[in-house]
Formats: sequence, C-alpha cells, structure tokens
Amino acid sequence: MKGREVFDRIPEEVCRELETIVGSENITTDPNICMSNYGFGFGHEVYYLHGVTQAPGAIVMPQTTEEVAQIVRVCNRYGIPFHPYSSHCTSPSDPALVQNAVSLDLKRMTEWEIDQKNMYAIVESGVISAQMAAEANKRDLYYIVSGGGGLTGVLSNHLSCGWGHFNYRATPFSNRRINGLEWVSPEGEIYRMGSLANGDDDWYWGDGFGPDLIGFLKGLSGWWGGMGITTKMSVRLYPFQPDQFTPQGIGGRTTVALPPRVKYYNVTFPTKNALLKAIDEIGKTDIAHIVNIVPAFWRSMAKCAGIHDFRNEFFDGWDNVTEEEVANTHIGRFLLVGRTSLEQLEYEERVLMDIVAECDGTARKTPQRDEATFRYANTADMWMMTGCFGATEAGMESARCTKLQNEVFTDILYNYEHKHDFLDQKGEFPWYLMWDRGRQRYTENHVQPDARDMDPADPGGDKELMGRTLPWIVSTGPVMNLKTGCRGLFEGTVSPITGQGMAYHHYDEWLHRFKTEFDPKGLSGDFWPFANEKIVEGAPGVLTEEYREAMANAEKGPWLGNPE
Amino acid sequence: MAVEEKQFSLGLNLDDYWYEARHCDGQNHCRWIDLNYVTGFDFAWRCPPWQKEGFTVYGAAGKCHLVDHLLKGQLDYTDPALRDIVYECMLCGGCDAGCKRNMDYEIQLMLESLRARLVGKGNGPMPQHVPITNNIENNRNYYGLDQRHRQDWVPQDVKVTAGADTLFFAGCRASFVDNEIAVATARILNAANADFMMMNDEPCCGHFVFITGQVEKARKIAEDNLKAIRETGARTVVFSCAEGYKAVKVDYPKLLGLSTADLGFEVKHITELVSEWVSEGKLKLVNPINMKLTYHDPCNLGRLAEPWIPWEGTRSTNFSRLTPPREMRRGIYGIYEPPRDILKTIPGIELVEMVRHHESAWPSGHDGGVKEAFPDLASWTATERLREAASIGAEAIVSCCPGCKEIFTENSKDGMKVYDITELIATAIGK
Repeated sequence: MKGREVFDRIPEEVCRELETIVGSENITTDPNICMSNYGFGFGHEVYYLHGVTQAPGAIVMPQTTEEVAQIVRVCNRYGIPFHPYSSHCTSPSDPALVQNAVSLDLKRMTEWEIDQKNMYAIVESGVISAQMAAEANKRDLYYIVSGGGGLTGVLSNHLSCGWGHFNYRATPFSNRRINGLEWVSPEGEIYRMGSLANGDDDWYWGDGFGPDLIGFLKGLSGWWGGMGITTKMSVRLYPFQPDQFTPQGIGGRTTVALPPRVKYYNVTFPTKNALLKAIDEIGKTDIAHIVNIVPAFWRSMAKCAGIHDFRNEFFDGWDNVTEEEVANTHIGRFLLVGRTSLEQLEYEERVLMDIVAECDGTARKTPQRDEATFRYANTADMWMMTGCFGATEAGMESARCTKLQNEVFTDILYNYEHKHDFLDQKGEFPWYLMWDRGRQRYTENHVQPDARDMDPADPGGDKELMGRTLPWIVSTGPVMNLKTGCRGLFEGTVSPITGQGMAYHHYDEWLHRFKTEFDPKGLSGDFWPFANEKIVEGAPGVLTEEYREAMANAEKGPWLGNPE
Repeated sequence: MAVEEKQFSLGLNLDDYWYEARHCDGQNHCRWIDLNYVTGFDFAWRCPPWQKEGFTVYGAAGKCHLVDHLLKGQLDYTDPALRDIVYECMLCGGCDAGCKRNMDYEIQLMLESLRARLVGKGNGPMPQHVPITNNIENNRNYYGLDQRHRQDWVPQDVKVTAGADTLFFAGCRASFVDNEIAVATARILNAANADFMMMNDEPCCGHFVFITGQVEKARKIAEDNLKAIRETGARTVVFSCAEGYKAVKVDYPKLLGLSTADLGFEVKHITELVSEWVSEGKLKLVNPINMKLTYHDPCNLGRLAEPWIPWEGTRSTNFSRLTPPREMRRGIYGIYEPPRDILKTIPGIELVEMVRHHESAWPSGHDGGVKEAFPDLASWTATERLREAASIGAEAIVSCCPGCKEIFTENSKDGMKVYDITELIATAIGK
C-alpha cells in the first residue's frame, strides 16, 4: 500500500482484499493522503460542509469497470460505505458524509475514443472536459464544456449539471446527451444501458431495449456519487468547423485566437428589454452558436492584467463602477460559427446585424479571441474576486419563466438586508443566457462572499456571517421558485430536498424509493442529494419560517402557482 | 467582515501560507496545463508526481489540505510517510504558475516553506540528500570532489580576464561533469568580445541545499556567496546553469530579505546575452545545424526566474484584499524567448514546440532532490518529456541547464539527441 498502513478505520482484511484487486500502488490508508483528499473549496466553504464531511478510511484507484465492481462487492460484503470521484475539480461530491468510507478515485480510468462519423465519444471517468473539447475540435466537432469548466470530468458532468455556454445549439439536459453507458450498481452489478442493452458493443444511442435507466441516474440534478458508479459512457458531440484555435500569451491572461469561421460580436443595447428582445429574435432565426449577456463585473475582471494580485486589480476597477452605469449598460455577446462554410457565417452575420438594428443595438469593436469559453468556462475567474463563489438558485426554463425568475432573483439580491456580506453586484441582474436555440433559458443567482467569512475554521472570519446568510442561501431558492412557479435547479444541492413535498412533486420520495431498491444497505455515496439534510439536522434554523410556510402552502395547492 | 490579519510577509515561514492552505478552491489548475493550450488528451497534465502516483496529495491541491491539517495539529510533522510525500516533488513551480493564472496563491513558497518546516522538525531532508549536503558544506561542490580541480575544464584557447566587469559562474555540474557546457559558454563570451573573470574558488551556488528545505544552511551559503561575488566587483554575473541563475537571482534575496534589484549586480543567463548580441550583430550564428529540434524550458530559467520582490502587509477587512497590493510573480516574465530567438536564428534549425511549453512546461525530472531520492519518478518524468518531444517529430531536445541535459541523456532512447543550447551556439559561431 502507498504510504503508512493504518487499519484503525477500515479492517485490514478488507484493505488486503481491495489491494488484491487494484494492486499495492493503487491503494492507501495513510492518514496524510486520506486527510488531504476531501473537503475542497467549493463545497467546504459555500455550503457549510466544514465539519460535516469526513476523510476516507482508504482510497483505491481502480482502472477498469470490472475492478470497480469488485471493489463495490467487497464493500457490500463487509458493510463498508464507498463513494466515487473523478476529476476532483471544485468538487463538493468528493467527501463522504459517513465515516470510514472507501473512496474510489477514478482518475486512472482514462480510456477514450471518438467516432467522428457518428459524432460521439466513448469516455471513462478520468477524462476532463478540456481534453475532450480539444479532441473533438481536431475532428471538426465540438463538445459542450459545462459551466463548471474545462477541468471537470466529462462523465460526471453528464450525470449532474453539464450545462454551459455551448448549450445554445443543444439541449442543456445533459442526460439527454448520453448514449450507451456502463454502470456499476450500488451492489456491484455491471449494467450496460442505452443501446448497449441490445447486447452488442453499440454505443450509438441513448435508448436501448426495455425501460431506460439513464434518466434515473441523472434525475433532477444527479446523485453526485450516491447511486453506484458510472464508469464509462458515450456522449454526443456536435458539428463544428475544421480550423483550430490558436493559443496565445503566457500565464495570467492566455487566450485563443478564433479561426476564420468563428467570430464574436459584442453589441451594446440601450435597454435591458432591447437586449432581451434581440435575444428572442436570434433564437427565432436559428443563427448563432453562443448567446450570452455580459455581466458588468465580468468587464472589470477582464481588465485585470495580473501584474498585482487580481483581487486588488479587480476592486480598483469595480469600486469605480456606479450602479447607474450598471443599470445603463446592456451588452450581448454573440458567437457565430460558419459550420458549413464561410458563406454561412456571412449569412448569419447579416441576420444578426438586422436584428441589432431592429433593437437599436450598436455593434462594438470585438477582439477575435477568447479567454475562457472554449476550454475554461467559469473556472477561470469566478473565485478570484473574493476567494469564494457560490449560487443560491438557478433556473432552466422557458423564456417567460426564466425572465420572471431573473427579475425575482434581482429583486431578492438587491433588497437582501445583508447583501454587503457579498460582492456588491450593484443592481446587476444575475447570470442569464440562452440555450437550445432560445427554447431554454438559464439564470443563476451568484453570491461571492469573502472566503474567510464562509469558513468557520478561519480564525479571522466573521463568525456571524454564516448564521445570517445560510438561512437566506438555503431557504430563499425554494421560496422563490414557489412564488414564480418556475423550476429551480439547486434543490438537493443548495437546499434540502426531503420535506419539500408537493413543492417538488414528492421528488424526494422517488429518490428514497430508488435508493432503497438499488442500495438496500445504504453504502453508496450518501452525499448529495441528501447532504443538505445533514446540514439542516445540525442547524435547523436555516429553514426559515417563510420556507416552512411556503412548503405548507404548496402542499395545499394550487400547485406551482397553477390555479387549475 | 473578516478581521484584519496580523502583518505577514512573503518568505519561508509556513504559518504565513495558512490562507493558501485553507482556501485552495480545488479547481486543479495545479494539475493541468493552461487549458487554452490543451491540444487533446495527451500531455495535458503538468505535475509529474500527481500524474504518476495518482493520489491527490501528490499535487498542490492535496498539499494545501495537508498543510491545513498540519497547521491545525491534525497531522504529525515528524511522520516519515509525510516526509516521503513532501519530498516526492521537483518543486518545479508548475503548480504555482497554473494556480496563478487565476488566483493569487503562493503555492511554490508554501511548498518550499513546508520542506523548511520539516527540516526544522528534524524530518528532512531525505537521507539521500545528506551526503550531498555534506559535500557542499565540506568541499564546496555537489560531488565532494577536490575544488582545486574545479577549473580544470578551462581550455588553453579560452581567455579569462581578471578584473573584468563580467563574472562567469560555471556551477558544479559544468565544472566537474558536463565540461562541454562550460567550455562552450566561455568560447561564446570570448567570441562576443565580452571579457569575463572567474572566482578563484568558485563555490556551489547552494541551490540543492535550498531546494531540499535546508534553509539555514542555504542562508549561510547565500550570505557567503553574495559577499564573495560582491568582492569580485563584477557588475554582471553570467550563468549557463539555470539552477545557479535562479539561486542567485531569486533565492539569495529571498533568503536574505533583499530584492533582486538590491544584489548590486545584474544576474544574466548566457542566452539573454547571446540573444542581445545576435540582434546587435556582435555575434553571428552562421554555421548551419540541419536539425528539427524542440526546446525544453528549464523551470529555473522560465517560470521560477522572475525577480524576487519582497512583500509585507496584511489581508484587509475588505474582502481580504492584500494591503498593500502585491506585485505578483506569476511566471510570466521568465526567460522564455531569448533561447527560442537564438535557435530560430541558427541556419538549418527547424524549431518545433511541444504541447507543454513556457510556463506550462513539463519539468525534466532532475530537480528538487527527486533524482537523488526518487530516481524512478525522475526517470519517468524525463521519459515522459522525451516522449512528448518525439511526438512532434523532433530529432533533438535542447535545454539551457546542465541538469536537464544530464537526465535527458540518461533516459534518451530511440535516437533522440540531447543538447545544451551553449553547444549549439558554439557550433553556430564556429567554436
């Protein structure tokens, strides 16, 4: 075994059995290694998991699906909890909420292949999005790098969030972009789903023989390691254009130069409504590849040169931006791609310019380079301002619903009595972008507190901040969703899912039934979607009276704001 | 709001990196190269021990958590298993450059301080480092050889000028083992009519002692060497060894509470001078070398070579902003272009870039005390770099550091040639 052998948490006979499966170099019980393997930033700061999460008792690094299944079967035989992780990027899903678990680190599972003709990739757990995006680009295809960024796992993101800028031309529902899939059940059986269920090695499509379980693996927002281990899947790729991006620069502010058939357009509009109207029109015409709204503080981030520490450079700019400026600045950022030809790009450009003119927009001079979208997504900068980045709620809905959600988010954030605990967004409306060619919209309410304040173990942190913000963070989202009747996305990740009853169609009951059926010993994961139950157990005050009242009203109906 | 933190400074006190340890956001930019430079699945990773060993603790993100637990007393500084983890790392600075693409965390300094803390607790360096340290302390060179033979490499045709403005600091490896590098460098200086002197009893630069965490011993070496260099009256000290270059330019001021600008002399790598001389027409690279080659950025000449800038201050109550603002060493202003400019100038050379270059360069595997204590990892690291060079069709790999040349030569197979850039320059000028 790697490092010091310690068997006070998991019996030696179990560890020895695991060692025979993965080999001595791929297992450890060394406390130095195990204790350094959990509780990374995103989860440990924002959602108050400090003190809740546990270091694993052993870590194993399997290399095949069969090894994963064997490990799971050993854990079942001895009643040892287990949980997987892959890229380990910003991951709140890596720590266990149970003591003495076995962590399955899947980063050694790095097999991949691309079927260019049929536009899909078969990928194991250890491959990250930036790698897949680059390999797809080389084959005139593109891969949807999730908002979580290029450092996230391809496979894990398809099982959880998996949405990002590139969803403009594809469904944001990542489970619908999965084809064949290999899954090790919580009891260690290997299932082959989608077209693999037909019995041959066909990874081509998501629907196989008989009932399809892929949707169950994803659900509302995924099991985050709580329902067995998916080891291999086929994901869809989409048609792009043949030329490659050219990277430029060193450190700090690298970019890629765009090839001739890929072009950005930054456009200023006189009002928010004009900007939203332009977006509607773009969706109707079926042009564009990415349609985004540029939040005001992104511009201050982009201006950081990195000579001094980013945080000071950012605030030097942002502190001088007024609420009035934010309220009067409306910029859309649109990417057009000539997927079939340069003529297509020229056609789309003419359509875009017509729309811009109709909406009184003004095209700005736009550098034809990109810092973050194609490889990084939001892992690039979102932590730099305050050291901490979180979101209270997100919505992925129709245009009408998302616009309503966005307005409510804006209002709630602006009027929150302790909003100065967070980065001052100066009245900015939260992140808002278009997906599925305008049929789906997305909005997400970001909050950026000082990382020190969100960390109860930080001796200099504000000890009262969590007490006043956690109820707001946990309870606001569900209440907001009930007010708007719109579907939120962070139930189970930010807010507890048990007890929401009819507010979420008793979704939690379905989850529990699945869990009981497939994982009768309750050994698999035990992280999200049930993590927040643990938090609420420890801090019941985080569920506000408003929250409880809203849930009770939802149970009575009319449901989800529908008078019928 | 957070309370204002007590005054702290950039240096080698592990306690001053609690923020990095505590607030690593776990994005793993320390594991992967700059994502805009990722070209596919292969060669996307930047950290050798993490890639080889797999467990997160072998990378900087895991080390942050390790330090967090150590600072809180939850792990034991004297655990031998901890020592093995901490020293199985080249301290190549790749993680630091990766993290600093988007954050302001001083990962390299934290890792250097972690070694210093282990040494302070009697749990470092590795046993394999001790005899070499003894050699340096007792014999003033890495090998423990007789210093009287240190300058035996100087050939008859090389002109050394006592009292010149420029001091050539050849370093242990080029003086005792890879003599061709020292000889080539001296001939290049002569060819450019740049008079140079040498120290009568040139000491080891102390890089090895510093990088293995033996800070007090390294500080003594730095004090003695700085005094000796200043006594020569040199205005410029020139190196062909990247380790020596970085030791004097960065680590001496770091150890002695100075800035690089305070040294009293300029620190130059030979490639900086040659690049200037070529552009000024003082040196002509005319002899062709017909070869497709790739350039390997030495860590100590690239991302770790930015001048040392002392900083002292606090984290404010206002979103923990640093007060005063800190000028960052992100690895952006290392010596990257001079070697490339030189190679592009030599007729016949076709220079091709590997996937991982500039601040994202994969290390050779030689440094950090790894070659001495973890030879398998060192060899694997070098082999990985040679595989990368071969993947782009290079016939040769060229670097600017005797250590890189040594480990590449030891691990080169399938005909991949290995050069130090001084050898190619000397050939190009007909020396």
